[in-house]
This record gives sequence, structure tokens and C-alpha cells, in this order.
Amino acid sequence: MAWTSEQVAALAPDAASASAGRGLASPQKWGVLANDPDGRALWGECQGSGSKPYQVQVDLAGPAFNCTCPSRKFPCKHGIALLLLFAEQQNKFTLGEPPDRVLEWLAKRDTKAQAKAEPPAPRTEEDEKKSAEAQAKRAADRESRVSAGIEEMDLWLKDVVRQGLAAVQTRPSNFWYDKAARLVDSQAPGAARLVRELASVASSGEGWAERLIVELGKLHLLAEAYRRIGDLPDTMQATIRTHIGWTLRQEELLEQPGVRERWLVLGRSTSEEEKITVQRTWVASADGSIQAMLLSFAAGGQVLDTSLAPGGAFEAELVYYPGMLPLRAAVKDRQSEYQPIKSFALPGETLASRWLEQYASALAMDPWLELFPVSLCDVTPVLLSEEEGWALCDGESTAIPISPGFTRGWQLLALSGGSAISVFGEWDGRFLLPLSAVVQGRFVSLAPARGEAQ
Amino acid sequence: MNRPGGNLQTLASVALIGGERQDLAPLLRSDPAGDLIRSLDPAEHEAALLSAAAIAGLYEAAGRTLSSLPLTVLRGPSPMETRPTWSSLSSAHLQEILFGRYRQGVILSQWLRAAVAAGRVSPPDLLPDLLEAGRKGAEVRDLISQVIGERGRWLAACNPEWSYVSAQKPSYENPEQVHTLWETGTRAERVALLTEYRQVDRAAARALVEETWATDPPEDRAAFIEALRHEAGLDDEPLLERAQDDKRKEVRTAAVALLSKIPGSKLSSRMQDRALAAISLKRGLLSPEKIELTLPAECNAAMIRDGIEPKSHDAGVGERAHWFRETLVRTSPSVLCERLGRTRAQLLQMATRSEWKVVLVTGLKSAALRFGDAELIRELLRICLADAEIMRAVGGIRSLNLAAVLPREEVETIAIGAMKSPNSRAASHYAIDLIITIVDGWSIELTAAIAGFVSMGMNECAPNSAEAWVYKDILDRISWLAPTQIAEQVSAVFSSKSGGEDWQKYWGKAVVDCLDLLRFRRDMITALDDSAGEN
Repeated sequence: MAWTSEQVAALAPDAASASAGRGLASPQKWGVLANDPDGRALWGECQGSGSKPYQVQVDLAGPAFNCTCPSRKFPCKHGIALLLLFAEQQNKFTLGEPPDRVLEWLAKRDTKAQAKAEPPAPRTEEDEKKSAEAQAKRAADRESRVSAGIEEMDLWLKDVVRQGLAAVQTRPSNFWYDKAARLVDSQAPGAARLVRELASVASSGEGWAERLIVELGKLHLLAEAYRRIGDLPDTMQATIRTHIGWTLRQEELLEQPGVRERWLVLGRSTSEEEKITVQRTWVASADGSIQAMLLSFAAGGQVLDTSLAPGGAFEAELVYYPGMLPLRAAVKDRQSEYQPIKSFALPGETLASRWLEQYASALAMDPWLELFPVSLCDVTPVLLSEEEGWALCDGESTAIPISPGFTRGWQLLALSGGSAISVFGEWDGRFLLPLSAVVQGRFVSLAPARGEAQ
Repeated sequence: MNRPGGNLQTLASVALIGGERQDLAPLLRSDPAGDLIRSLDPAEHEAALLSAAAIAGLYEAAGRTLSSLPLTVLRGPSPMETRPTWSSLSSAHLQEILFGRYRQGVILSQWLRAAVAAGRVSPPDLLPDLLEAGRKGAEVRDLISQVIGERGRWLAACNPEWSYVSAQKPSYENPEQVHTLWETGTRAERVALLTEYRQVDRAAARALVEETWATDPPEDRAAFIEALRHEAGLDDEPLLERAQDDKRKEVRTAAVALLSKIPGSKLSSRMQDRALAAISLKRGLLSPEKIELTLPAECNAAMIRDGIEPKSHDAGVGERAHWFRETLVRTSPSVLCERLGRTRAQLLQMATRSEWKVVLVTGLKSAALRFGDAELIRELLRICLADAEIMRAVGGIRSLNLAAVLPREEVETIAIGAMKSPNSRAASHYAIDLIITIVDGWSIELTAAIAGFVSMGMNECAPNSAEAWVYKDILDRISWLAPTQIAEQVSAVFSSKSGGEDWQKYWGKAVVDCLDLLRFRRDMITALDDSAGEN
């Protein structure tokens, strides 16, 4: 299992760490560079600015990092550097038995993994009953708060329509954000987020009125649906609740049966929402028939878990969140460690028309769907014009428009050289945002690069 | 994109105005969306509009079809690469240079030259960044064009901002091509063309300039005259004399600059006569020979026409002395020595005994630099080292600009000698002045001497003094000028010098940064050299 420089760089929490790791990846900076004959661990000592060198170790089964430096980033630049050195200059490592500190750390990781698999201690019947009652009360309270909040939102929507969109367009963003804040107070954070999004729709340039009235309409649809939620089938109820902002407790979710598969990691994107960073990791089965999206969050100074980097695979049981359209999932159980793949085959459609049919079906199941994963094989990047921007051309000469926010069009064109490649990205109904490309088996991540703003 | 029935446009225009109790039904087309909308309760006006918008919006999004591509936009695939790409380690190094810690332009040039020598081309990923670097930095354009490969040329052809890659280089065998480019190019392109063509066919290059002389703007004319400096000779004289009487000063200045350097030209003869007219050699009964001057009485029109500046900007020199010096500066030292029948050494000796010592020595220095007279510069150097007053008058070693006139090995030998000299203060300054003027191709010997010299200086000077700043500057130069083979030796020189805490605090970072860059340059060259062997 060979790591490439790109795959290691993909594990870095941000571009600054990747760069710092690169700067440390020369053998002269390391007093000790070693690995064990089983191929499990790397360890080394790196001279920092302090008097004692930092002791760094990497568990290749994971991968996981540990370092004595005071950095709060994870993995820190020393960990990145050590793995980079292993990927590029393995001959500089000495083969040997790991020192005690490394063995202890590996052992601790193994017992932790085991403990996770064990079931928690059982509770008494009395406890169960009490907690069930408390839970029921909390649920009822929440229902009434949400209900009130949604009704208020619906009245507001009608008010906006009565005033006319022209009047609303000139309002400052607080007009929308204040309404969103009220929905947060009503414990409907999902609806709050949708309302917040309206602010950018109102200022999105040409065609804004059509887009805005549609989004307002969809919010109204959500309110209508919630009013009649009791009459709707279970899966539809789940979809509606998810969009309004009910979250399912992880433990409850993970009790459900999941799907066991070898999952390819196709792409990853992040977005900022109200001081929280959201990371979407898109995975699929090897034949592309099953897809899933893993969400993770980081607030404030926290760092995202970047271990499932695009371009690799792992075996696991994933449980889908309930709803009409199975897309978001969580990892229940990992059967194998994540491994980067040397020769990647992207499972996907070759014709845009087929994928658009799938998108239509998905919309029918979940009208509030925002991002749909799209895998395209045999497409050629094309620059339409200065104003129209980039597109992908499929076998029927259909032009798939690429998001104006995509900054790596020239890289994509350079990689393709006018020949067909495979691309994975997110479709938002108007544009495709390419996240990854596969060129003759070589996986390339299209996340913002160094030298660009993140 | 196909719009199903225009329902959405209709709804949006109604929604824009607001407040109107308009019946939507007649405005809607008959498609499944329109039918569904018609079934909504019209009494709930706002709710109906919102629901209608949701329906129409979803219908459109789901039914979206994409347009076809006009075939003209598609390009054929790029040709296959004929040369192998560099390793991913080299790509990582290049990214460090373009975006990371080692962003100086000179490092990029060094890296590119090594890549060209290794016969490698860029992998596709880095092409846009490389092409952009070439667009922004004209000095690396040529090197970048050599490492982008077939894919790079193909990519550049797709973007008008990267047209520099395919910018036409004419075949100089083909005069028609040359003429076309001459007539249609921008000033920069024409100057570049002229400069190159001049090296191929002197007369033909001049003929190009003469062809469009009458209609070219004055800035162009001045630039073209300047571009003819390569092997300027007597056959260029007619054009240059025509330029000498041009209406615009910049053209006249360019012309006289060249004319004064052409041996045997009428201007240079006139100038020599003027200079020699003022000089007489006087030998006293008991005193050795010295130069006596009869300063020119005026600065007439003929002198101005030949390029002499009538106004002196030097406060220490009177007007007439200034005019004399102007003629001296424009006189070839070899002709001067020949006509006076003396060697350069004798000439300088006589000058130093003169009452016009400063005027003569500074004038001879400028002449030596203008005419590239290495012999005279050497003699000047000897005199300056022996006589501090003359050194001051001339403006220090730096103003002798040894690196421009003397052969490289000689300059290095002089520098190394100065660094090893026991005569600390003066020799130090002199050595430093020399080192600063050598900005490329340091040899291993020179580097070793500089490293030792700086290391000693670092220990002896006071932190934060002016001297310390100079040593820091030289440390920095070592990092990007030293040949990479010597990296470990340089490292050894400095790491053995871990002085006390104060020393560490002041010098620590500078030393670490210097060695970092030096090792990085060695690593980057090694990575490219290594791959040159394999395929």
C-alpha cells in the first residue's frame, strides 16, 4: 500500500499545515527516522524550536498520528512530514523494532477500538421508564415550539409575497437573518438555515426573482408538509423532520441495520455555516449503484477529521439516516482501515441525460434536496467563453455547466489535454461543482490548491 | 436550457409586484405543472402563489435539459509528450518555489534551468501555475516555454493570456518573415527581434531600422539605435550621424553613445582631438613627468552635438574642468595611450602628480568603464589600494565595477585575496564591496572563502551594528548564490559556531534560514539530476 505525496497532503487539516509539513520533510531535520518490519508504524524525532526534539509517530493502519509538539492541529505538521518522508524517501528510514512509547500507543489504540465494539452496560427497568417519560415530555415540548415557529415562518412568507419581491430585494441581510434566528429559538435549525440562504439568493444577480420565489415556495411547501405530517408515510415524515432540523441521536441511528460495502471515497467539500465548518464526504460502492454522504462538523478552533481522504477506500457498515431519499449516512462499524487506491476507477454515467433522470427521481423523493452527487465518465472539459465559463462535454455533445465559483478550470483542462476524463462533483440544480477527477486511473483532488484562498 | 411553458417567469413577475390579486390560471400553460397549479385554492392568494412557485420550480429543475455544445468550441486532443515528466518530488519542490517558502525569482530560474538540463517537462497539474508565472515574469518566460512540453503548448494555445508561448520567433533565413514581424510587431517585440537579428546579420539589422526610420516615433528610434550596439562599426556611421542630428534628445543621446565607442568614427576623432588638445606632459628638472591641463575655454555647439553635457552636476569640479572631463570620458584609453606614447600605468602616475589629480583619475575611471578597458581598471585598482585619497575620490572599490570589466576568475582571485588579507578593516570593506557585485556563478573556492570570512566577521562585529547587517546580507546571498555541491561544507562552517545565547539570538535565525535554502537548492537539483538518469 503505497502512499503518494498528494494523498498525504490530503490528510492535512488545512493548506498551511500541508505547506509546513512539506517544509519539514527533509531528512536533515530528523534525528531518528524508522519503521517497523510489519509495516504498521513509523516513528521519528524532529528538531523543533525548543531544546528537546519532538517525538513523532504514525500508525499506518488508520492512519493516526501522535506527536509531543504543542500544536493543536491534528494531524500536526510533524506527522504530515513524517508520512511524506515515508512516501517519498523510504530509503532514508531504518528498519527496526519500535521503541516502548510507540508500542504503548499502538496498544492503547487497539484497546480503544475494541472497547467501541463492546455494548454499553444495561440499565434497570426503573431507569428506563423514567428516562422514557422525560424523553416523551421533551419531545412534546419541542413539537409545540417547532410548530409555533413554522407557523410564524409561513405567515411571514405570505407577508413577503404580499409586499412583493421588489420591495424585499433591497433589504439588508439582517432582514433574513433575524427571521432565521427566531427559527433557531423555536428549535428548527434546519428551517433557519434555509431562511438564511435566502439572503444570498436575493442578491444573486440575473434571474434572482425566479430563484427567490421558488425558494420561498419550497419553504412554504415545507410548512404545509409539517402541518399535515401525521398523515404522511414514515419515510416522508423523516425527510420533513430532517429538513426542519430534527437530528437523530447517533446511538439510535447506529442501532439500525446498515449496508456493508467496500466504499470508494469519491470527493469531499466543505462549507462555512454560521461559524461551523461542514465537511461532506461522498462515498459510493465500487459499481456506483449505492451512494452515501458522510457529514462532519467542526466548530470554532476544532479540526475536522480528514482521515477518509478522496481517492481511497474502506470497508464499513454505513447506516442511512431515515428519509425518502437515502443519502446521508453514518459509519456504524469499520471492517478495514482506509487505504489510498493507486489506480482508481470512477463508477459513473457517461451521458448527462441519464444522470439528469436520476436527479429528477431524487427531487421527486426529496424536493428540498440541495446537493446531488454526480459521477461522470468520459467527459471533456471545455471553456465556453469568458462570460459563460467552464463546462463538461459528454458523449452526446451536451454541455454540463460548471459552477462559476470553481477555480481550477485550467488544471482540469491541462489534466485532460482534450481527451475524455472522469469527474465527480456536486450538482445544485443549476451548476456542477467538480470535486475530483480521475485521469487514466490517477485520482486528482480538485479542492482549492495552495496559492489560492481556501 | 429549455423553459417548460414559462410558468416560472410568469409567477416571478407577479411576485415581483406583489399585492395584486391576480388570477393566475389564464397565465399558465398546459403542462403537468400548470395543471397542478390550476388545482390550487385561489382564495388563499399568497399561499397559492408560493405553492405554484414551488411546483413550477421543482418541475423545471427536474425537467432540466442541457444545451448542446457548438462544435467549434471543442479542441482536438494535445499531441503526445516527447519527453518524460519530472518526479512528484520535483513537483513538490516547484510548488514550494511558486507558493511556499522559497519564492525568490532567482530560485525559480535556477530550478527551471536544472529541469531543462535534465530534459524533463511538467506534469499536467502544474501547467496553469507555470504558464501564469511566465505571464507575470518576463525573465523566466523563455525557460518556462522549454519545460511545458507538448501539453503545455496545447494548453497555452487555449488561453490568449498565454500567447507568449507561441509568440513567433522568425527564421532569420527568411527575410520576408523578418520584415513582416518588423512591420507588425510591438516596440518590445521589434527591439527583441532587432537585438537577435543584429547578431545574425549586422547590416541587414541596420537596414531594418533605416527602412522605417522616417515614420517611427522617437522613443522607438532611440530604442532601436541602442539595440544596434552589438559590434557597432564604421558601416553604421551614416545612420548614427543622421540620428545624431535628430529632433529629439533621446535619439541624439543614443546615437552619440554608440558613435563615441566606434574606433575611427568622426565623432571619436573629434573627441580625442579635444581631449589631447588639453593635455600636455611636463617634466621638471628634478621632478618626474606629470600631466598639465589647458582647460577648454568654452562648450560650443559642436561639443554639445557630440554629446558633451554643458552643465556640471558635480559640485567639486568647476565648469571648465567638467568640460574637459567630459571629453576625457569619451576618449578611448588605448587611443589616449597611443597618441601620448605612454603606457596606462605611466598615464595614471602622471595623472596622480598633476594638480588636476581628481578630475583626471575620475575621468579615466569613467572612460575605462565605458570602453571596457580591463588593463586601465587594473591599474586604477592598484593605485586606489595604495592611496586612500584616490580611493575616496574615485568613490570606493564598488564604483570601479570590477565584475563588469575584468574576467570572472580574476575578480574572484582579487576577492579571495582581500578576504584572506591580514589588513582587517580596509580589506574587509573592500572584500565586501567586491562580493556584493558578483551576482551569479559563485565558484566553490569563492564560496568557501566567503563562508569563512563571514563566519569570522560574525564573531568579531557587534550585533545590530551596520557591519552586522552587511554580514547578514552576505549570509543571505550565500543561500542563493553558493553552488549546491558545497552545502554541507558551508553548514559545517556555521554549525561549529554556536556561540553564547546572545550570538544565537541575533544570528541564529539568519544562519538557519541560509542553510535551509542552501539545502533546499541542493535537494531540488539532486531530485532533478536523479531523474535525468532514469526514464
